[in-house]
Amino acid sequence: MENFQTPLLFITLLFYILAFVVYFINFTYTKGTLKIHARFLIISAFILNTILLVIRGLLIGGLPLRNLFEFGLFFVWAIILIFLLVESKYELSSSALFVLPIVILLLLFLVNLDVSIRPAMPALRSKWLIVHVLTAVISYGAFAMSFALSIMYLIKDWLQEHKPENKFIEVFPTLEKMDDLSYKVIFIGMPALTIMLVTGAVWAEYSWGRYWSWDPKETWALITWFIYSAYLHVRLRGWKGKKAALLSIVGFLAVIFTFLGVSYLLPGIHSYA
Amino acid sequence: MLNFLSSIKLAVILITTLVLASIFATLYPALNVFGSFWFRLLLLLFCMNLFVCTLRSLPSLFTKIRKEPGGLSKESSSVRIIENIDNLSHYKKSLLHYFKTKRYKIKERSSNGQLNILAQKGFLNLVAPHLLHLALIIVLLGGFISSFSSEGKVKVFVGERADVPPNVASNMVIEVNDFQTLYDTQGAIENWVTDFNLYVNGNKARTGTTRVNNPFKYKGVVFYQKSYGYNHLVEIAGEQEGIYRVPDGKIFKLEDQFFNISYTRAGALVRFFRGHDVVKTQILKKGDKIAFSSDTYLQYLDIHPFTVLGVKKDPGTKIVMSGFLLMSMASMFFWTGRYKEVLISFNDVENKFYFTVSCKNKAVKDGIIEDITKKLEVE
Ligand code: HEM
Repeated sequence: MENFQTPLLFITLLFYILAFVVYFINFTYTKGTLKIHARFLIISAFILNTILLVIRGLLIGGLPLRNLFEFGLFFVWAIILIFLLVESKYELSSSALFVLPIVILLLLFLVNLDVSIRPAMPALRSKWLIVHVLTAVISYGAFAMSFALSIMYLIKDWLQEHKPENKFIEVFPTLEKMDDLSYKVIFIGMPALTIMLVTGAVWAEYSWGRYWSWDPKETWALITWFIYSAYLHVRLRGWKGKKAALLSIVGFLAVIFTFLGVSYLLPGIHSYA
Repeated sequence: MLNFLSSIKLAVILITTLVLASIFATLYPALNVFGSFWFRLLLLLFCMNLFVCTLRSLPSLFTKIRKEPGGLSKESSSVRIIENIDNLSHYKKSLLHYFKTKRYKIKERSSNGQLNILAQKGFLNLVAPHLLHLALIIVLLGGFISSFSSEGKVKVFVGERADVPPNVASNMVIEVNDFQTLYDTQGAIENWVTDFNLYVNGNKARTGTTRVNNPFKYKGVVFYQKSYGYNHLVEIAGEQEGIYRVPDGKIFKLEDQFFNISYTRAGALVRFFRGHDVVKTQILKKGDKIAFSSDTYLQYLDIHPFTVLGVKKDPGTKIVMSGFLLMSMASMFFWTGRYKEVLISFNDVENKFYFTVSCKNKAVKDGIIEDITKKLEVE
């Protein structure tokens, strides 16, 4: 089964790319007639993604959440899961144009990683780790969705002012709806991020004897948490629209930096994950 | 002043400063920003901000929770009035039924021929931010106490004793009975376990085990499985005759031959070197001999494992952990529904009723208003 992983990963990536292309054609050339096909493709890709995770889980005999590859695969899965949930409740299919590129870029990064199975070191065999990483995935997925909505908000806002004839103005949901949903999604992600930080600290206490070491990965997770908590508070003080969208984008950049930048650019004890 | 100290504005300023300071700190780790005085001052301000804000919001929170039905004024713009109802008592019943099935908390009071009803729901969501703020204060307080913690390490060979570092606990001695590496069914290392006795003032106080992710606690002192290693007991005959304790992996020279001994699951592995290259390997079991020359040999006597335990005494940990628990609870409260409140007054004499709905989410609020008015049409 181990040899299936790479081909399956490529097929999954291919389906996500195809879904993006069809969504793009759907919105630019065919006025929505291809939506059902695009939806079929993204759901297929999501199912393939799920199968890949299940295979990986069977291979390692547990939840596949132990290294960068497994976490990345789960991250992509969570982004699409949250997209599908939000999309099925609110008519938002145009956000696929922004969610899918995030997913595709992440997968292009993942295909370069080592997929071989290595046993987990004892410190990683903890139930706290499972809650920790699962909540990380949920919150990061939610923040990715909010990021996509915020980018769309800024684009539509700009188009309305500078290119009022542009057809994407019609394609995108209203500014209010995108703003409101971006906030709602952060409200799902933020508690999950809080639980992620807490369970990470509890796990560190049990395994290293120190709940907080200020290592770069921890610090950046905390920075991310601060940014989104600033987001929630400024919204209470009436920030909306453009300013809120910018803050949500900054928040997601912090997420990406925590996820990738820290492992590659800064030194620290989390570097195995 | 108090207004500013408890304001969201200050909170946002502080959060922004903390973000900038933390980014700076990860770029220049040598500057030890997190241990600096000004960073602590920032955290203290942060605590005060949270504390004053939480204190000031408590009264209005309790007022909301303990609110009584009634007090609807007909003039207020948020109050809706419905008149000329055919069957008021029936309608009353069906509304109450609606609130009950939606799991509202209902309070009823009648006065001056009016029946007043208060239906509330979503208290958890209402207390969530305050609980979260409180939890943060607790965590920061615990963190402050933790900065006075003491910690150290003990290295103990199996079968021997060693003192727990006196800065952590005085007159505490550890005696290690056993150290084991555990393997899972696939042969990978699952954990490391130390079995030990704990002596306090010379008396045996407890037997315990530590393993990774599973520390042992005794009266506020916590023991963590930190590290381990092996020595090998060997007997050498010849010029350097004697019994030696050889550290795992360390290279020695005997009769012009370089070699080391390291632990493997199959036994002690001896490697002979020429320069950096391994030229010969051999597994030794207890009693095995290797001849180096006609009168020089090495006999493997026994493996001698040691364990290294981290030892910590930190009264702050418990406080931080309870803060964490509270933080997680508060976080989950955010996921429960918004706080909603419906106030209703039935007036039998005038055959009318008044109601008002409050909820910060406009869509939810409109939904409730619609539900209430719809009930009327169906009846
Ligand atoms: C996950 C993190 C946090 C969440 C979700 C959160 C949530 C909230 C919410 C919902 C409110 C409004 C409460 C109300 O209107 O009664 C609020 C107010 C406030 N928060 Fe936070 N908060 C968080 C962290 C923080 C932090 C870290 C600080 C510290 C700087 C802080 C300081 C404040 C202050 C000062 C207020 C104003 C209280 C008032 O005016 O009544 N919060 N927060």
